[in-house]
Amino acid sequence: MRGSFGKVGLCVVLLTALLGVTGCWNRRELNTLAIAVGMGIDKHGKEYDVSIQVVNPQVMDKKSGTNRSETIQFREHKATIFEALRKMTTVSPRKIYLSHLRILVLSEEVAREGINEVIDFISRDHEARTDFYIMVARGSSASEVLNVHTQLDNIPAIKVFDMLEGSEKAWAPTSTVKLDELIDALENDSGQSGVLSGVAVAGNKKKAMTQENIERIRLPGVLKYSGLAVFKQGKAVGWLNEEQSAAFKFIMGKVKNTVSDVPCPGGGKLVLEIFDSKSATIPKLRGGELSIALKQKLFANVGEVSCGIDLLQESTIAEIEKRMEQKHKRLLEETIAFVQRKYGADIFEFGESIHRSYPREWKKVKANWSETFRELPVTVSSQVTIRRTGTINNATISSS
Amino acid sequence: MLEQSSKSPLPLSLKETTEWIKQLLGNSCDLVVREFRLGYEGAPRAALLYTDGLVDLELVQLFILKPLMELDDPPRASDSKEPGTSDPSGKEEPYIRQLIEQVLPTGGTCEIRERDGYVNAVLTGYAVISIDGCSTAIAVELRGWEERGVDEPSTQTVIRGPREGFSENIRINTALIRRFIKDPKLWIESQTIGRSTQTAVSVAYMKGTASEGVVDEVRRRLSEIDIDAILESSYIEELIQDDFFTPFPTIFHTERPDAVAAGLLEGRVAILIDRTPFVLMVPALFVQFFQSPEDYYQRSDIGSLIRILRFLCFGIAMFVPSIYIAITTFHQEMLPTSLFISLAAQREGVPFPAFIEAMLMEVTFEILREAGIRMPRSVGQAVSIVGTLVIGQAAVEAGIVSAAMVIVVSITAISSFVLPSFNISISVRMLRFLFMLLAASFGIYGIIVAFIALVLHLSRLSSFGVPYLTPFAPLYWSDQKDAIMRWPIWAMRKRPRMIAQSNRIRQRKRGPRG
Repeated sequence: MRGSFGKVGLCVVLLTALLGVTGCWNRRELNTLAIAVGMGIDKHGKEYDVSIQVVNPQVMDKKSGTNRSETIQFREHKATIFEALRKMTTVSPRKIYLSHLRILVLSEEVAREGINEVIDFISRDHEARTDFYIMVARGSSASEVLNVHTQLDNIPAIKVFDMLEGSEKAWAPTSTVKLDELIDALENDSGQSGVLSGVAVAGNKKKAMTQENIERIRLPGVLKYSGLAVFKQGKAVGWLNEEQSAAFKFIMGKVKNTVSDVPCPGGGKLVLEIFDSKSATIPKLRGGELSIALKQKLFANVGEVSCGIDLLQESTIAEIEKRMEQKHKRLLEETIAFVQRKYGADIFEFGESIHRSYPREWKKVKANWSETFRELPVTVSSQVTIRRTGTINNATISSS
Repeated sequence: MLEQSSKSPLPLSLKETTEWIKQLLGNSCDLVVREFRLGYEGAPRAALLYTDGLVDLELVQLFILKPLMELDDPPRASDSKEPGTSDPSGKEEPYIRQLIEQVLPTGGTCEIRERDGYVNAVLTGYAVISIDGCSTAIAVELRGWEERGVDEPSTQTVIRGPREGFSENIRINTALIRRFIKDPKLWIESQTIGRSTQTAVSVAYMKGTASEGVVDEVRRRLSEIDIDAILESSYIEELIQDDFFTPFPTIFHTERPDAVAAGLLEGRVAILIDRTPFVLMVPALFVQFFQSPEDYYQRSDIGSLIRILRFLCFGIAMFVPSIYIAITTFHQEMLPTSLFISLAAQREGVPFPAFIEAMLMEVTFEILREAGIRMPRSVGQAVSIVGTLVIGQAAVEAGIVSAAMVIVVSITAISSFVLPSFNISISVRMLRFLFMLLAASFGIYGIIVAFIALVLHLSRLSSFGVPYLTPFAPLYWSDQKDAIMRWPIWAMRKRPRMIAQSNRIRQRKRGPRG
């Protein structure tokens, strides 16, 4: 009896003690924080050049109509990122608060030299969350990307974030990468290969960085998504163009919605809206030879017709499906071949699926995976199903 | 109804009696002594004593003075020889009885033999007749005084449902209950408490449905009260409640006869107190304070939804200010970015930490609320105008508080008014400040720890032996039908388990529906 009470008592004591070990927290008032929404990392000689985009809350308060900028950029360079951030306190009146970081922009130079240090800091830091987008600045420095004045959303970092998020859902070439996804890609069995979205300043770069940029209806300079940077061994090795980016996203099975054109049988074009796609990577082992079979299933609606075909005929639909299948198959095959030949970076995570299906074989090829990947035979099969033809049947104007 | 304390008997002489009582009451001006002689030849002198203002004068003249003074013959000796009626102690006994039986056409009439009962009768509004040479007096109940009628209750108002509320008169109150429950099993026991106030206290319950243990416990606790005055039911409530050191009420009070009737039928015990329209009910459970009589008068689906809304409001009123403080000062990463930026923008230029800001606003609101209750009605409007301006606009425009804080304080205030029982919203009001303090020092961690402590405290409480958190802890599935949800009447075939312990069947067979 006494023993059991002792146990219960011990449990109560232990559970109570548990309340005291909840980890760290700190008290900060909202108006003592500099809310960082964007972070850019460039190279300054051998040092890191860190730019931080901080929201200026006084301007965000609608009542005080000032012509001050909505965001402020702080910039410091130091041998490591953490040091540079701390040195920023010498210019910023408030402590940089990283939890609400929306984008992390790396310059192409940083990307080419290796992103492991950056990733280590940003994932080790307890303040930062993992849901911001990471991208590579293409054709300009990271600091410049954070400097573009934007419309619709006054804070550039949030504008870029929303742009990527929206585009990712509706346009196949756009892929977004968050911190956890990047770490996952770099750490799985693909030889530290992965991709990051590219972002570029399109138009007049100089005007884009002045207040003038947002005073016009047609913005002189805009921030624009542009392709994917391919990483191998944690270093950027090259870019994928728009079509290849789309193929990459199809292979990863991440396309939620996009459009694609198909040539009509009698000339002209027809646009399909793809609203669902499924992808399966099936590793095969035959006679000691590894190969990959990619199976794609697309579901589409007819979105736009600019040729004179009879959509009411079942055979026409079958014909379009066939053409789309061929086009899709070709695109995927070409992209895979391109990546194999040029970069040898397993961004499609074939290694991961081989490891899962054939762990014993994987041990043999693991050491030399990069070379094996270059020679890996890949067969693509695609199946397109057209579900609906939109709210009208045939084109209203028959092609002349 | 009069106390039969065995004190010294009344004097025989009429003069002695009137002198004694006048002296005892210090010649108080409201004591009326009307001396007269009975109508027939050779009749004894008599006196009518009453407290002015407590008796209905017209009735006294009509039914006491008139028959006695116009009495032509002495009352006949009663022929019926009932066994036990003859009193061996004195000769006058049959005479008094004859007067009562033959002359006085009044209802509540009784004999008094002791001085204590005599004084009591005069002070509680009886008209007392003393007859020279008799040591027994006659007390006639002809009470009548200015009384507030049966009004619509000002607390616990309903849209649909009876509009009668209890009044200050305990007789009217028992009648209001009796009008709902015409069942011989409704027993009403009575006693007086308070040496000076002699307040009538009645305990009502359904015999056979109410738990005998609870009824005995109520009787025991009431009998242990030794106090000079009971002015309101809260006196009794504080004296008999289980645990004083809790912010939560463990005794329910209501102004509505229908609520009391429903409680009695479920097996609760009601305690009615004279001079107050608030009737106590035990045992009181936590969920009971979230239930309004109207839940049962509206459709069960809307009744259930509104109950859920009340629990939600309980949470809002208790936690929202503290969660706001915790999130804005400790856990900024929990907010969506755009909301975070907008909050940060509002807080720019606010000179106080969020906690001070919240305290400022909450205390201002409490001041306004208290002022609103105590102010004379005609000034009330001024208070509300000043309040709206101070709380709402001026404070924000002056940059002393942020607009978000005003929203938080307003929703908290409104939510606390949703709770149908005023005493549970008082607990929420008090605990809110504790939670705010903990949120300011420890963030959400502090709130969670305090919440755990609160739940532990609640599960420790009991009301007259019934665990306070019934039917959640202990968990009774069948009682969930009338806890957070209100099931259709036809589905609630059994009474709550912990309340009606012996007799639980409400509907023996399935009704026309279901």
